[in-house]
Amino acid sequence: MRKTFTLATAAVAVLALPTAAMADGHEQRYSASLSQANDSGASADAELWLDGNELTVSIQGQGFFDGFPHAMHLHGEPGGDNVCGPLNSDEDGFDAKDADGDGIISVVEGADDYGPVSVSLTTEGDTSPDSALAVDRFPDSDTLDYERTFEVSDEVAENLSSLHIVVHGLDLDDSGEIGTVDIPSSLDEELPIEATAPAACGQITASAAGGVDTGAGGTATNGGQDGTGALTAGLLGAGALGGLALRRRRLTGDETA
Amino acid sequence: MSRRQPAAATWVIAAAILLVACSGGPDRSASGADDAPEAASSAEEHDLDDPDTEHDQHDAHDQHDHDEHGDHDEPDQHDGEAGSADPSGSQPGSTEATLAAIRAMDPDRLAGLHDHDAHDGHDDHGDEASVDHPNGVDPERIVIDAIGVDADVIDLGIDGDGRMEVPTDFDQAGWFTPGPRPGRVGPAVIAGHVDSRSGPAVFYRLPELEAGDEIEVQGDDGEVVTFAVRGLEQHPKDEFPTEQVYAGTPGSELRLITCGGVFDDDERSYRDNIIVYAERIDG
Repeated sequence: MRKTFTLATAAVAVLALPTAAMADGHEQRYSASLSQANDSGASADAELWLDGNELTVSIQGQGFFDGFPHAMHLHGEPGGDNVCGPLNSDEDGFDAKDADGDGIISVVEGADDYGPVSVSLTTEGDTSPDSALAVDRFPDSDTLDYERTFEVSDEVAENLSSLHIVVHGLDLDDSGEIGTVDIPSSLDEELPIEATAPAACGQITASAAGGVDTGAGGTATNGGQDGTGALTAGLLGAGALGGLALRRRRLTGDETA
Repeated sequence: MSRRQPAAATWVIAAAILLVACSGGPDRSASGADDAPEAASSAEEHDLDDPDTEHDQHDAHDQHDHDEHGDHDEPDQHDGEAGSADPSGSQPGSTEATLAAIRAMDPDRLAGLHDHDAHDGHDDHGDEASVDHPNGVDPERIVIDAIGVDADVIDLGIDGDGRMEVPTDFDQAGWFTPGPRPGRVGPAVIAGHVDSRSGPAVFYRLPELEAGDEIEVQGDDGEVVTFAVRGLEQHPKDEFPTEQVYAGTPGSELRLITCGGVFDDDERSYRDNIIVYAERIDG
C-alpha cells in the first residue's frame, strides 16, 4: 500500500523536526475499522503508517453514496478522550445524543463525542481543518479508494490513538440523491444535512507486528518440551506446524529475551 | 476520484438555492426558519439573475457561522418543525444541486465550517460522564492480586522491524505507548516477561488467571483503573492474532501478553504468546 513518496513530500519530510513520536525512523502501523453511522450501511477499513511526522492513510470503503464527495477527517482532540459514540438509532445513548430529536446525528451532535476536526483527509493540498468541506478534494465513490501521504503536526503524530476517522455524507432517505432530506446541516443552513452528516466512524488503534518476545527460557523444563506457561494444547492453532517459514527477526541484546 | 462538472442546468438550480439561502438576509440565524416558505417558492421560479447574490451571502456569513455551533444546547433549532412542512432554508434538491451549492459558497466561509466548539476531548462530559478517568491513565504500576503481581510499568514502542519492544528488566511490565492509555476506550496492551535466563519473571503466573480476576493499573497521579479478566489465549508468535489484540473496541479493554509454549533453544525464544483479555469494570 505504501507508494513512493513524491519529491515534494520527501522534501517536507527532511524538514520535519525530530521531536515527534517514532522519529527514529520506525514506522508505526495503525488501523481503523469504520462502521456505519446514521444507519448508512457503509463501512470501511483504514490503515495508517506513521514515520516521524509523515502519515500515510489508506481507506477502502463499501456502501458509501456513489457520486458525492465524502468529507473525511481525523476527528478528536489529540490526547483527549473522544470516542465515536452512539451513531445509529439502535445504539444505547442515541436518543440522548440526538439532541434535536430528528432521528439523525448531525455533525454537531456527532462531534460532541468524536470531537473536532484535527486533520482533513483531502486527496491533495491542504489537510488542515480549514479544508473540512473542500468538496473538490474528497473521494466521491462508494468505495472511497483513498490513499495519501502527508505531514501531520507533532501533536497529531504523538496522539493518533486518540483520534477517529469519520466519513461524512449519506443518502438518508434512500432517494438516490444527496440533498432531498428537508433538514439543514448543523454546520450551515444553506447545506442539506445529507451533505455533512456522518456516514461512518472508526477508532484508530496502533498495532505491532507479530508476537512479543517475553521470555528467556530460565524456567523452561527443557528446550524441546512445554516449558512454562503453556495453556491447554487445544488452544494451539494448527498453523504452528504450518508451512509458513518463521522469519523471526532477532532483536539485539537483552531484548531477545 | 472523478470530479463532476456541473452542467449549466445545475448551476441554474444552484443559483436558485443560493437565492433561497440568501433571501432571508442577515437575520436568518438560529431562529431564522420562519421566512423559509417564501424562500422555497422563489427557488421554484428559478430566478437567478441576481448580481447581489454573492454579496448577500457574505453579509449573512457572520450571522450564521458561529451561533450554529451551539445548537446542541438549543435542541429546537432544527427540530420537527423544520421538517417536511418547513424547508428552513435548505431546499431539497438533487445531488448535483447540493454540490453546486457548496461550490458556490465563499471559500472563506466554507473553511470556517467545521466543528470548532465540539467536545474537546478533555473529560468534560458533565452529567453524562460515568467513568472516572475516561481518558485512561499513564500507567506506572500494575497490580494483580490473584497471581501476586505488583510491578512497575515502563513505556514501550516498536523496534526497527515494527515489533513490540519488551522490557529489559525482567521484573518490569511495559505499556505499548502507541496504543490507547489503560482506561481509555480501546485496547491498552501491557507486556511482561514470563522468565529470565535464571528463573521466573513478572508475568510468570499469568496463565493462572481466570475469568473475573481483577487487574489494577495505577497511573502516575495515583489514579487507578480496574479491569476484569475475560479470557486467556495462547497463539504461536508467527500466528499472532494482531487484529484481535490491537483492533478498536467499543469499551476500555486491556491485554496482557507474555510468552508460553515450547522454548526454542536455537531462537532463544518461546514459540507462543499467552494473551489475557480484560475489560474495564470501574467505568
